[in-house]
Amino acid sequence: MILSERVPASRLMWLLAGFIVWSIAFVALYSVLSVGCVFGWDQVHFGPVSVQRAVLVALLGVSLAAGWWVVRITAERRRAAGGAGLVLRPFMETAAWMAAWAALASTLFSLGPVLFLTACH
Amino acid sequence: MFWGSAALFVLVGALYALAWFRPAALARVSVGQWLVGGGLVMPSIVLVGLVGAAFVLGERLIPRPLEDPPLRVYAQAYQWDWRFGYDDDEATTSELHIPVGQPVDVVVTTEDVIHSFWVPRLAGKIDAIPGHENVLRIEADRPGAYRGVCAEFCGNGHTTMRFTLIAHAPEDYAAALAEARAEASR
Repeated sequence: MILSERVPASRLMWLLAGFIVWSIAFVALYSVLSVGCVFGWDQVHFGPVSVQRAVLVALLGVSLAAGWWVVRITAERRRAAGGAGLVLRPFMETAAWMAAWAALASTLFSLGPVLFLTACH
Repeated sequence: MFWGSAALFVLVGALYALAWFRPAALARVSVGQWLVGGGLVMPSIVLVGLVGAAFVLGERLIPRPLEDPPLRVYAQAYQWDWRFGYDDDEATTSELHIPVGQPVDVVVTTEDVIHSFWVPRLAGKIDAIPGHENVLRIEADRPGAYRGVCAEFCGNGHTTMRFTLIAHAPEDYAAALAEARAEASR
């Protein structure tokens, strides 16, 4: 059987959106971590926390907010297409919504440790 | 780590045997349950365990200042071998000698390309970067020889770029190091 349904690129984009946010967040945190250590941001304190920690946590916050925004948009698109509950219909919109949740959880799981791990040594 | 992977191996083997000899027993589990259980729950448990262990070990490898400064040794990587130096003498050795039961800071560097110092049984791994000195804190619990490798691809000889770390009882350390230096200078 040949599936001939045309899928607009925008529907595919929402499937990828959550993990695009995750990958941008990953690269941003990884690079800022190294730059901050080289410039000694961990030695400069901003109240009770170092500038290094404050910058990393702020970046994590922005990443989580962007991920949550993707979850909201994909949920809305799915609702508009008639999806509800945990049923995999309509498939593309539901998969995009679940992928957005997976990406948000991955952001918290893999980048959340900037809250407590040693940043520089 | 070993027992965790052994348990997973036995679990997968048991499932395979069930699928082969008692397919009806597995058919009672729905496709959705297999997907969520085997594709989401099990990997999540394994990943959380591994990541948690990596965080704890990673923090332990950081060379924080100690009241009693630990012994420092120097690992110089080059294509494609290692030389090891010590604070009290300029002579270097081809094997790394450390005392047992105390933290040791390994200062790792190189002059050519990026290498990586890794002794798997001591958990530590850190890159050797030209122009940088990276410090890794390791500790051996018992005397013996520990295999080490270069863990960053560094050219044709990368796969043979191995070394041995020998951990000595504290009372034997000075004599063993002197002997290794004498051997190296011959």
